[in-house]
Amino acid sequence: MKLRRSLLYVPGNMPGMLQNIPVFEADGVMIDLEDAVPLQEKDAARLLTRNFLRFFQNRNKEMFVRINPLDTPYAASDLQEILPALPDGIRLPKADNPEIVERLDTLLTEQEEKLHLEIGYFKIIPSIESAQGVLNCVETAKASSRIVALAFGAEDYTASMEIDRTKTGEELFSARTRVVWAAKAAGVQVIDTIFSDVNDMEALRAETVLVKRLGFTGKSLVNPRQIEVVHDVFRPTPEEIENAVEVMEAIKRAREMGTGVISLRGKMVDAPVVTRAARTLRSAIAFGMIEYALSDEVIHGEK
Amino acid sequence: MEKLWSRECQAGRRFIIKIEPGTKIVQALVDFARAENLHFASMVSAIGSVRDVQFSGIQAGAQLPMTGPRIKTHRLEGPLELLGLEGNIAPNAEKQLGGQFYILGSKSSGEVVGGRLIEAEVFATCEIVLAEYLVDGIGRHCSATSGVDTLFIEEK
Amino acid sequence: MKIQRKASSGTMQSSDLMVVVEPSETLQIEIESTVKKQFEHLIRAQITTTLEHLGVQTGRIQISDRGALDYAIAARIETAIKRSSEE
Repeated sequence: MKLRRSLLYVPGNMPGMLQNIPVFEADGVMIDLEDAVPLQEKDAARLLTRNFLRFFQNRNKEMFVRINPLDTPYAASDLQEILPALPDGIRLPKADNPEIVERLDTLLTEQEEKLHLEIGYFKIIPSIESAQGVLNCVETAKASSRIVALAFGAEDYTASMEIDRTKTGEELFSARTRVVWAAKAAGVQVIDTIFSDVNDMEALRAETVLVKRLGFTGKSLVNPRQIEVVHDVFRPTPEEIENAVEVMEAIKRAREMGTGVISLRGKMVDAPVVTRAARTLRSAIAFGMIEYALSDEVIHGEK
Repeated sequence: MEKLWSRECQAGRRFIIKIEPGTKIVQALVDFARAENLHFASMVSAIGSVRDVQFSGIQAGAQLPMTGPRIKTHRLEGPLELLGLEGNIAPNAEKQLGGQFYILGSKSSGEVVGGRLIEAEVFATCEIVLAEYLVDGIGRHCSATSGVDTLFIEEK
Repeated sequence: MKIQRKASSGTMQSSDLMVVVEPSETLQIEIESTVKKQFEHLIRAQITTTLEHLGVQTGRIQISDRGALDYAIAARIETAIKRSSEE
C-alpha cells in the first residue's frame, strides 16, 4: 500500500519551487494550478507544469496536479496539456458531489485512450471543501475506481460555511469525522487539510496528532519544513511497535491453547486488538523501522 | 443526416409468458423468441420479482462512442419487486434474434432502481405479455458512432 | 504560429525568466541573463528550438533570464507566443 502521509503543495507557476521537488522528502507532491495561480497566469502555469513533468522523468515520489475546478474554463485545458506529461494523478478541487468525480473519471478515460495507456492509469484525489461536499462525501468517495484517497480542504470549507479557521480546529471536527467515515467505508486513504501557519510547528504537531487519532492517513502541506513533523506523528513510536509485537506473540500463544482471546499485562487481546497491532507493524515495516514476518496466518490464524 | 427513421408494421401474435423461479430472464426470452421464430417483438408488460440483477448506467460527462469505461455496472442481490421491463427483440446482422431490455425494480423501502438490463433471475414469479410485430427491414447491430447496439431501419 | 502583437510572460523570480515578444520583419533574439557568459548560447539554442517547434520564423524576442532551466525557457516562450497570437 502506497504511503501518502505528506502531500506537499508546490505552486505551478514558480520554476524555483518546481525544481526543488526532487529534493523534498514528502511522500507526494501536488503541483497547484488552482489557488496558487492568479487568473491571468493560468495558461503560463499549465505550460510550465507540463514541461516540468516531462523534464522530471525519474521520479522519486508521487506527482499529482491540482487542476482548476471542472466548472471553470481552465480545467479542460489543464487536463489536455498536463496528462500527456504523465502525472500520477489529479487532485480535484470542489468535489461537491459524485457526478463531478464521474465527469473527471470520463475525461481521464478519454485521455488514456488517446495516449494508449491502460484505463485507470491516472488516479484521483477528490477534495471535500464545502458544506455540500461534506454532505455528499459518502457517495463521492465511491464515485470512481480511480480514487486512492479523499482529501479534506478546510480553507474553502470554512469559507463556504462562513466561519473562521482556528488553530485548534473545533469548527472542523464534525466535517473531518464524516470525511474519514466516507473514506474508510469506501476503502480509500484520507488526507487532512493544510496548516497555514508555517512557523507554528507545535500547533501543526497537535493538529496532526488529532487527525491521526480520528483516522486520517496523511496531511496536505504548504511548506517543506512541515514534512518532518507530519512524518514523525505518523511514524509508530518504539513503544507502540514493541507492544504490537507482544500482541502478536500473545495471540499465537492463545491460539495454541485453542482460544481467540488472552490477557496481556491485564489487558484483553482479541481479534480487533490484533488487527490494530498488525496495522502498526505494517506501518513500522513501511518506515523500515523493523523486520517482521507479518502474514495473514499470523494475523488471523489458520482456518 | 436523417433525424428520424420509421417503418409501419402489422400486429403479429400475442404471447402470455410465465417464467419459473431461478430462471435467467433475458436468456429465457431470447430462447423463446428463437423457438417461435418471431420477426420482431416488444414488451407489453412484465411483473413479478427478481434477484441477482445486473444492470448498467452511463457515467456523467460521457461522450459518444460509449465504451466500457464510460459505463457503470451494478449487481444487486435483491430480491426486488419487478416493476417492469421495457425493450424489444429484433434480428441482428446475421439474422439471429437478440434482446435489448431495460429494467425497473424496487427495494422494500420503495426506492426504485433501474438501468440497462444485463441479466436477472426470477425470484418468486415472472409474468410477461409479449407482442410480435410483422415487419421486415428492421435489425439491431452495434452503431459505430454511438458504440451501442441499436435498431437500424433500412431505406424503403 | 505568428507573433501578431506585443505580449509577455514569465516572472523576475530566480530560476525564471521574463519574455517579451513583438512582431518584426526578421527574427531577433536579445538575451540578458545573470549567467549570460556561461550559458547564452544554450539559452539561444533552446529559444530557437522552441520557436521552430511553434513554427515562428520572425519576431523580436527579448529575454531577461535569472538562471532558468530549459524546460522553463521553453514554457515561457510558448506562453508569450500563444498570448501574442491569441484572437
